[in-house]
Amino acid sequence: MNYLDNVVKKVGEVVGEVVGDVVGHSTRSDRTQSVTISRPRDEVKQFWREPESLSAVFDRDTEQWRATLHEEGDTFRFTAEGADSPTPTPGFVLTFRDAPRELGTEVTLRAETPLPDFLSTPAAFAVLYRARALLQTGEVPTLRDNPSARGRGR
Amino acid sequence: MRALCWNGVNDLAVETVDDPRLVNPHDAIVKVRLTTTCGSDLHFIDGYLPGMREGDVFGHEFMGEVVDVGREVGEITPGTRVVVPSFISCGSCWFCDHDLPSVCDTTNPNAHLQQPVFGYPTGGIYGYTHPFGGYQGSHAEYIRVPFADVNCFAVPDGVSDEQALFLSDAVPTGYMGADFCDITTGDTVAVWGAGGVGLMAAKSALLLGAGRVIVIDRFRERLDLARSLCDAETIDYTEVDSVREVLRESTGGRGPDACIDAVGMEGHGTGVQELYDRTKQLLRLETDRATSLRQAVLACRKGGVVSVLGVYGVTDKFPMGAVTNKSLTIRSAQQHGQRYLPRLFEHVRTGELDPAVLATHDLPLEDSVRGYEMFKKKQDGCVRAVFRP
Repeated sequence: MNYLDNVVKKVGEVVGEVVGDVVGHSTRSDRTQSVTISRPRDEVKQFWREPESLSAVFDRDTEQWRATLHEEGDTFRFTAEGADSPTPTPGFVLTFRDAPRELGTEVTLRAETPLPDFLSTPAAFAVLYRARALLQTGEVPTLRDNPSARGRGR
Repeated sequence: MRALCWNGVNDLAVETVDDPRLVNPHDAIVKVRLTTTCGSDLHFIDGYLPGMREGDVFGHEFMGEVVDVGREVGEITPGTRVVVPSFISCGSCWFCDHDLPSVCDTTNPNAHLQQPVFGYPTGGIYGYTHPFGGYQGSHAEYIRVPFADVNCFAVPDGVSDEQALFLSDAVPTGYMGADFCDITTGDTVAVWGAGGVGLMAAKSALLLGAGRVIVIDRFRERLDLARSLCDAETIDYTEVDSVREVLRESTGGRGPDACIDAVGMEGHGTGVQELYDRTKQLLRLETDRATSLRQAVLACRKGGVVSVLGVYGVTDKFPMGAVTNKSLTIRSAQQHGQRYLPRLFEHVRTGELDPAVLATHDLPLEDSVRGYEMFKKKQDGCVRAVFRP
């Protein structure tokens, strides 16, 4: 590797670190995600009460996570089942409200600290995105059985 | 099945992969008859766009025959000859309802990878980078098409396979770019780039009423095509001191009424600006060489429209002052093919538009690596290489 290649590599690493810092900082500071779902509020709330719905929208690779749902009007709080220690219980909170102009229901997911292992901010958005897709179209977009050359002796 | 795979930067290979199968109830499986290269593929082949994974089957512009459908597919049936727009629409979200299918709200399985970059994710696309979905691409014998009733368009009699192929992407992209220009009869439209999309944009501008179309490129064969297919005037930018000056002086000092950029992030130019962009791109301090976009903004007449079809990442030195002070309108999108296909079928069927001329090289899929090499290096007058799986 010549001198110029080294310079290019180093600059690339520095830029990558800076970008990573910015993205990482943004991710850490933003613990809520919201989507608007074009369905009535009652229908959207019912969706989150059904275990099969939750199974469809959480990552298929997620380890089993047993949770208890606490409903308080338009706020649903999911907490880790059996966690009765004095330390905070991992979980997340969903809130529902009508969107303006008959756009449906605004759903906000807020992850409570400490974060459940499977619910990083991008994962929280993925969960809401899949829920919206399932409610609006009847299916979740997926790469299941997506053909590629991976896994063929690589 | 056999498929063309991306294995790394400038590392492509035809390999054997699993066949796709029906996964969701609105899916169809399409046997690919024809699939073609696209300039936007070069951005990840060359390593400028991140987000590919080794072994990905790529390609997004194709047509074929439906061979199987999911239980919720109602209109499209096996045996139907179809063309499929490259972006995937669900047909039922707010954006699809408002004729903006490429920004569909539900078809991107990797939306969470794109949201931090764009704020809100686009729809999925076949055979592109993973933030855009990660779906298997069309350079293969078969492909799974989600929401088949929305995305499979039956090809009418009188439209050949070769014509239908380019209705998947190049034609609707070019047509949309011309549509964005709000052309009134007699307008002058300048188009940067005489590849498949640029040629279709130029031809579409004429169909929509432009009086003059001026195409800018450096490849003689492509400029010849622009003149013969689109009745365009042409500028070889390597033979003039300033494209802007040529456009200004050839329009009586007014400038083109609308400018279409059909080049994108790997544009070429001349002089100091070209050196500047190449150096910064090499150092990964910018992803784009936005030569044509800058020229389009600066060349456009006051109050005109700049229509951006080229694919960009992060652009440096964008002349925003010119946009504001010249009262320009900038319009851009990834193609909304589902919006335009019915009228494009009519243009082709009536003979007003013949996109099959883009297919300069016809190859079996097994030769697709060579096809991309020819396409990338524009060898032998290659405008588009077409593959037959």
